[in-house]
Parts: sequence; C-alpha cells; structure tokens
Amino acid sequence: MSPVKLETVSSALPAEEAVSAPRLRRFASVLFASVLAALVGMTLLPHDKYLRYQALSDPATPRAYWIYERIHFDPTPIDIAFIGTSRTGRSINTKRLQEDLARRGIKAHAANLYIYEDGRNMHYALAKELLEHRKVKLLVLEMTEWEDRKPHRNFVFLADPQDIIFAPLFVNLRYFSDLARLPGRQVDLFLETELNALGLRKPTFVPPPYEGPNRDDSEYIVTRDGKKHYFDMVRTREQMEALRRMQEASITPPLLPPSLSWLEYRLPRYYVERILKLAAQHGTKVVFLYVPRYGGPDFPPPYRRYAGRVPLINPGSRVQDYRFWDEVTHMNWNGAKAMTDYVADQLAALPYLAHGRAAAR
Amino acid sequence: MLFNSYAFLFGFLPLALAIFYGLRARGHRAASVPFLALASVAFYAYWKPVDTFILVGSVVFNYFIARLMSASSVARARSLLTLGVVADLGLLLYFKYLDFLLGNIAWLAGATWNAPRIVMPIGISFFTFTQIAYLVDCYRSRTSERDFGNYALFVTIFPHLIAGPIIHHAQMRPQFARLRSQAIEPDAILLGIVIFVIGLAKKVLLADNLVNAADAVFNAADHGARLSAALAWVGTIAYTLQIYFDFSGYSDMAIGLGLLFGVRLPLNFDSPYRSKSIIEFWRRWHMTLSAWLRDYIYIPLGGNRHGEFQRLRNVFVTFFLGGIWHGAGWTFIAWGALHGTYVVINHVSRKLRPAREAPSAVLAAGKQFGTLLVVMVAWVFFRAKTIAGATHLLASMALLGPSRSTVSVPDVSLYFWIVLGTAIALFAPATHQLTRYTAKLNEPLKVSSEPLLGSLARRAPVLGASAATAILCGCLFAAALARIWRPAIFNYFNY
Repeated sequence: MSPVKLETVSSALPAEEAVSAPRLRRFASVLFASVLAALVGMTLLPHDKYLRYQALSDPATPRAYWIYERIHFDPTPIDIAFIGTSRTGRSINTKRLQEDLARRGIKAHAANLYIYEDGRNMHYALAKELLEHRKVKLLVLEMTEWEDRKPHRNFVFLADPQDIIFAPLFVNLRYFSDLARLPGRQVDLFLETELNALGLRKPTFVPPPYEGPNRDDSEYIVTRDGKKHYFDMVRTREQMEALRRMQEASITPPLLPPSLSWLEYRLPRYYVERILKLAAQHGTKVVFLYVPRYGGPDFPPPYRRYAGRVPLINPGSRVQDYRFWDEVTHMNWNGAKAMTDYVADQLAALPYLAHGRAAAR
Repeated sequence: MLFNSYAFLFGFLPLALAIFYGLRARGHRAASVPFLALASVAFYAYWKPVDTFILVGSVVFNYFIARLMSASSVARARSLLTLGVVADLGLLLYFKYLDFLLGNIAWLAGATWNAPRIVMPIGISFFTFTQIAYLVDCYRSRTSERDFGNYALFVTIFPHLIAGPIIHHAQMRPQFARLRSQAIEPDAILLGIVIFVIGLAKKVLLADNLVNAADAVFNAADHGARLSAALAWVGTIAYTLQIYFDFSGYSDMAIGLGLLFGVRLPLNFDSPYRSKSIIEFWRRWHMTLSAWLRDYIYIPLGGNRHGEFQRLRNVFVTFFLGGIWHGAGWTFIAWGALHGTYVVINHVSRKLRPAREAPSAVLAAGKQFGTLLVVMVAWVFFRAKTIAGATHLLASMALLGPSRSTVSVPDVSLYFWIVLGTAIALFAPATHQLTRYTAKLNEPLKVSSEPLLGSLARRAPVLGASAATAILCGCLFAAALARIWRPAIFNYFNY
C-alpha cells in the first residue's frame, strides 16, 4: 500500500520530490553503514595504556595507575600477585607478608593488585596485563562466599578493546553498554595521548610520585585530599552483629534453581577459567584465597568447582573475631595482620616459592 | 531517560518505534496513538516512578476540568477555569517555589528556615504550562478534547514532555486524527532522522564540550575566586554557547523524534544569536515559550490596548514572570527583569528612532554585537548560583577584577569548541533551514534530493535524502555516541 501524504503533493517540487519507502531504506542503510564504519575506526585508534589506567580514577582513592606503574615501570620482581576486590586490599599487607616469608627463609616480592568492587572480568583484565608483562610465580586470586553474577562496572575503563568486543555476550549484563562505550573511550584516550605528546594535556587526575612496590591499603588509605585514614577502629560485638544482620538482609540469593546455576553464574566462572588458562600458559601457579565476610561461612561454596585443580588458602574461622573487622566485608588493621600472617604461613607451606627459599639461603 | 543516553538510543527508542510501527503495519493505526501515550508515560516513569502519579493526576484533573467547562455556562466555565489554573499553578508553586518563598519570608523575619526537601518532578513547568494554555483555549473556544487518549498523548508525548517545545492542542489534534487513519510519510521519517542527529550532535558534541569551562568559571565566581577579565569572558562565552546548543539541540531532537512518530512539533529556535535587537532575539529564542508568554500573560494583562505606558509595563511584567518561570531564585528574577528592561528600552528606542529600512552592514553588525553582548550579560545572572557570584563575574568582565585568576579552564581544546560553536551559532543556517522543516501543517515537508555537495557549492546547504547526508549523519551520530560514554544532563530539565 502506498503511503498517504499528510498534505498536498510535494512531488510538484523538482528537487524536493516525495521520498519513497525504498529510498528511505537506502538512506537508512547508508547511515547505518556510516555509523558502523566510524565506530570501528574509532575503536582502532591507538593510545597510551598508562593513560587508560589513569582514567579509572576513583574519586576518593584511585589506584589503577599504581597497578600499571608496578607492572610496567618498577623492576622489583612480582613473585606473588594478589588479585581481588577491596576485601583483598583491606586484608593483605604485602610488606608484612614479605617480612613473614623472609622469617621463614623465603625471599619473595608481593604486590596487592586489587581493585575496588566486584566483577571477575576485571580480575581477568588485571591478570592479563600482569602475566603478559611480568614473570609471576604465584597468582593469589580472591574467593569469597559468593560468586558475583555481574561484570565489573569499570571493566570498560581498563580492558583491552578485544576483551570488550569478544567478551561473552550471553548472560553478560554489561556487554552492550561496554561495547557502546568502547569507541568513546578509545577516542578520549587517543586525544589525551596526542595532547600529552604535544604538552597540551590538562589532566583531571595526576598520579602522585611512585608510591613504591608495596602500595598496601590495609593499615590506612590516603585519599585524594592527602589525608590518611587509619583502619584501627574496633567495634563492639553488638555493633558487628547488627552490621552483619543488615548486610545479610541485603544479599540477593540465587535467582535460579541450583540446576541452572551454570547459567546464573556463567560470567564469573568463564573469567576464572580464562585466568587459570592464562596463568597456565605463562607458567604461573594459582591459588585461591578465601577472604570471608564477618559472620560468613567457614568454607567458600564456590570453591567446590575448583577443588582438586587449584589449592585454596582458607582462614576459616580464624579471622571471625569481631575485633578484626572494620565492617562486615572489610577487616581492620588487626584483622589484616592476622590474615596476612596466616596467608604467609600457608604460602610458605606451598612448594611454589621453593626457588625463593633457595635464594634466601 | 535522557535522549543522549544509551538506554534511550538503544533501548526505549528502538522498542517504541518497533511496537508503534508494528501496530500500524498490522492495521492497528488507531491503537498506535494510545500506545504512544503509554510509552510516553513509561519514558517519564523511568526518571522517578513516583512522579508519574503527579503527571497522570495532573493530566486527568485538567482533562475533566476542560470537559466540564465545555458543557458549562460562561460563568461556571470561568469558575472552572479559575479552579484549573489555580490548581495547576498551586502544584507548580508547591514543587518549584515553596522552598524559595518560605526561605525568603523567614529571612525577612530574621528566622532560620530548614527547607523541607521538596524535589521538583522533572518537566513540571512544561506540562503545567501546556495544560494551562489548553484550559484557557478551551474556555475561549468552549470546546475540549473528548478522547482521553488523545489528550493524554497531547500532554505527555515524550519528545516534548521534559523540556518542550510547548505545544498547543490545536496543533496536535489534527495530527493525532491523521495518525489514527493515515500512513506516516517516509519524508517525515527521513527528516526526523536527520533533525534528531543534528540535535544530538549539537547537544553532545558542542554543548557538552563547553560545559566544563562554563562550570569551572561560574563555580569559581560563586565561590568568590579571583577571575581575570579574559577568563571571565571565556566562561561567559562558553556558557552562552553551551545553553544555546544544549537547548536548541534538545529541541531539534524533540522535533526529530516527533517526526519519527509522524508528529510535527513547533520550532523553538531560529538562530537567535544572529538577532539585531532584543525584540528579535525573543522571536528567535525559545519561540514556543515567548508565544506562550505573549498569549497567556502579556495579552491577558492588556497587551498594547491601554496606551504606551501600560504596554511597556505589561512587557516588563511578562518578562519578569518569564524569569520566575525558569527557576526559584533571585538570579532568575534578575535575568527576567533584565530582559524585561532590555525589551522596554528596545521598544522606547524604536519609538524615538524608527529603524532604517536598509541599515549599513557595519550598523547591522554593531546591532548584532550589541544584542549578543546584553544577552550574555543576562546569561551571567541566569547561570550564576548567586547574585554575588554574577556581579563578581561581571566585574571581572568589566576589567574591575584581578589581572590573574586562581582557576583556569580545564582543557585547551575548549578554544576549538568556542571558535567552532561561535561560527555555527553566528553563521550556519538553522536546523529548519538546513532541512527545510516546517511545523505548519498546511505546508508539505520538502525533503531535498539534491546532492549535499551540489547545494554546498550553491552556498545553500541542504540536508535531504542524499547519500552524502546519510554519511554525514552517520558520522555525526557515531561521534555523538562516542562522546556520551560519560553522559551529561540537559540544562533545561531543571526549569
């Protein structure tokens, strides 16, 4: 059926003839092809990856830039790398860990490469950057009492373009959002890189002078305003219990029946497998470190999938003393010391750092 | 949901278009109208679902008031009109002005006022004004919309719901009737795509690249920071361009979206910074608001019917109220009063020295520059958070400030955007000229089939159905998509 004109016949005007439906389709096709070509072109723009890591500048406590500096600019070996969320950041002090190991005759350098918030794809992005550029003996991957279904909301800031484009599409809540944002990120970083080269860049965030090979955030953090915030507060048992109840009320239980957990948790499992594969390719051993919450189970249920393949360091109930906790998911400095010491004990018992033991002798 | 968000561009819009055209393709053209109303309410609910009750309540209330008026005697209709307008203004007063009013009363009384945290529903000024106009029109004509779906769509149609253009029922009613019975012409869809992309590019590529500089300078002024004259001017120019591209970009997007759904919305901007007088400026800037203020404030106040003094008084009052409409704050009042004064002076000067028929190019340029200058001065009040901040910035612009600033513009690329934005605002054709869009229902949409390069060679660029236009729009759309990976908000959502 031919379209009915709204008003008088516009074909009376020679250069303004009515648009036919096929012509509209042609126009839309050319437009769509142009959009696609332009987006692909933008995605291919090169940039300085260090600027990419600076772009993920958490307003309060940026640290991605340091991870990049530690991997690329600091020749200090990274024998043990911790990758996880702020739980790992607040519970492992690498300086103390190194000292603990040294007392046991193991000379090893550790780096805590945690990044705020959950999302296994972010752990993959960090592991990839690390393992492709440094020889790492042991990768300690955080495990908690639950698996996060969702991808990390800042994955698009740090990941390589191909890891965003070829990320699993199925049950990936941020796939299209990340994909749509990628060309913009690439253009911004390209312009930043070029302006930087010309000396015209005016960054919103300037990394501080290098903070050394052990940037630990377990005793205190330094916020952007330069203030130190110590984690030395000890709450009462009642306070911790109240916080635990609140936190437990906010936990979203599995949405699908156990038989469909493969579907619900496809994304974190996919990325853990990729990390394990990547580590194997680079000759890096992997262990899981259970970093519980206050009042959490003594054993992490998600570990069952990897039992027999990957060792687990499990502090169990040793860190459940209420005096070890700043709040439900983050330890205070007392807790971090206890956790670090326990982890050092366990690492020393593993065979992976044997070369370090020999070197120390 | 912002028009420049992924949720809108890749979620709401394709889905709404698919269902809308799916219904029509299956012969349910009539059903596509109420669907559009429902989709519009869903669009609104995305912001803050609870505010939807206010919108829907307001729509239902005004619909019934109008229905009652159309079946009433003159006296009763007048009472109903008063009731409707008072209720509409009461809603606006409560959500938009109560904090401000009580705060000032408390200040005058020497008391402290703890604001009750009233959060204004988005777009309330626009849907309230649209409905007040409707009630007045119904009272005058003694007719009203019978079909509630049509009325609901008229008020809520999502392209205009949040930030205009302000529409009239008389413009929409015949279009809704056609939507129910006739196919949507491909011309409208094609023009809709082109105009939407132009608007998106204006907003995202121009306005959003200027916002950081404007914010930096105005925030510094509000905090009393040292501002050099150069920086004060840079900030003011950046804001002058930002607000134009932000709002006219939004209006273009609204028009484009309207066309995609077969509805023509009125023009809202016509290259306002090319105006050679402040009166002309107000014929080109936010044209639907200017017309609304004229029809529903200036004329009811008496217009020019009671002598020159009364006319000037009415002009001033109209602009003063226009300033208050934009926001509850002394800076908006100052902005409205300033424009009221400008327009009064313009009228008086015209009376004293009638304009020459063909002024010289130098005189015309001088008039344009002078108009732009006073508009920029007024924008300082509009953007500043405090009168003190505005006067501080104006003092710096007038070389009364320090020679060095304690703040700086965020990025050197700003100067590129200022030069580009200025060139476009002052020299490029307006969107409706580029696309030959007309909102007049008795004029056909004239989609050009002329090649873009050919029209550029004639110095009469026109964006039509050519492949070059499609490629240009594709590139602009891609660039806009790239720019919104960190989205910003529309300015006029706040008013």
